[in-house]
This record gives sequence, structure tokens and C-alpha cells, in this order.
Amino acid sequence: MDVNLIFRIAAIGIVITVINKVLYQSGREEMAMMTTLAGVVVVLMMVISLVSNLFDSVRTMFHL
Amino acid sequence: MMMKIIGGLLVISASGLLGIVFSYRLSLRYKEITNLRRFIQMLETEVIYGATPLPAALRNISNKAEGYLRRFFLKISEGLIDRSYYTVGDAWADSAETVLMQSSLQRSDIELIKSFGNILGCSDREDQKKHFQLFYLQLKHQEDAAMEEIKKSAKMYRSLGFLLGAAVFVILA
Repeated sequence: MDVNLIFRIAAIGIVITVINKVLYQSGREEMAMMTTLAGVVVVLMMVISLVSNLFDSVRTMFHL
Repeated sequence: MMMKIIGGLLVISASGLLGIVFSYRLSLRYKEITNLRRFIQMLETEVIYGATPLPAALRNISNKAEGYLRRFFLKISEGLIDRSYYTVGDAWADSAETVLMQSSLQRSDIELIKSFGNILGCSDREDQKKHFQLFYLQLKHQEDAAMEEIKKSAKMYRSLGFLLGAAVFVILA
């Protein structure tokens, strides 16, 4: 678990927000929507192993 | 660490340049349509008032034009002088296909230009004049569409290039 990942997610969030604003202003709402979704998917890909780690440790902690 | 920064700068500047190239191409299309309209006006003057034969008129215009339009007019003129085509329309269409395809004009612009070539030199002066007027109107329409596109997308392409580069850098780094 390193702090770098958090910073990276924050940076992706900022960049995606700005892209979203730019696309929205030039009247391409559906494309803005798509970039937002792509950002969510990318961040999810980064986080998913950590989430599964968390579930694993919860399971072992309570002997489920 | 040093390598990472250098690579990131390369990625960001490359995609930023790509965005600038795209937006430049948009403004280039507008410029080319405007230029084309100007030279077609010259051609009208040559044909209607000067009564110059088409190969000579096209050669005169190609001397004044530059870039793709120069090669476009020159190719038609040479094709007509060499008699390598059956009609003016053929020469015009072939030149439009080979020369203008490389320029920033879009498919619809080129189709419009090709359809004008079929009429050129096929009827008397008065009728030609009407067709020229019609072609100006169509070109004007295309020009407005290009301007609209510039307003809408040029800025977006420029900023989107840099931003996507930054996104790629952040995701990969």
C-alpha cells in the first residue's frame, strides 16, 4: 500500500474533470460522458486488486 | 526518475502537437476554400469577359495560385493541352482526385468541385455565368460550414491534445 497510488488517482481525477469541461463546452455531451466513464473504469482497474485484498483480509480476520 | 520525466514530456508534447496539427488542418480547410473561390472568380473573368480558351485561362490562373491549387489548375491545363482526356470534366475530376485529395479539403468539398467541372465549358457564356454563380453559392455554404467547425472544434482539439497526453502520462507513470 503506497501513497503514490492516491496521488495518481487524484491526478487522473483532475485531468478527467478538465477534459470533461472542455468537451462539454464545445457541445459534445455524449463524448464528455464517455471520458468520465473511461476515467472511472481506469481508476477501478487500479483499485480493484486493493479492494480484493481488503475482502480477503476481512474474510481471514473473521474466519469466514 | 529522470527517464520518467523525459518520457512524460515527450508523450505530452507529442499529443499536444497532434492536437495543434488537427486544429491547424481545420483552419487550413477554410483558407483553401476561400482561395479556391477567389481563383474561380478569376476563372469566371477570363471565361466570361476575356473569352480565353479554357487551357490558357487555367494556365494563367495557376501562375497566380500557389500550393495545391496551383498544381490543381496546372494539371488540368496540361491535361487539356496534351489532349489526354476526352472532356474537361474528366480532366477536372481526375485532377481533383489526385491533387486535392492530398490537401485539407474534405470529401464533400471535392465532390462539389468535381460536379462543377462537368459543367465547365459545355454551354454558352450566359449559361456559364449562371453556373459560376451557383458554384459561388455552394462554395460560400461550404466556407460557412468550415468556419462553424473552426469555432466549434479548433480550441477543443488544441486543449484536448495536451490533456489526453497528460492523462496518458499519469496513467502510465
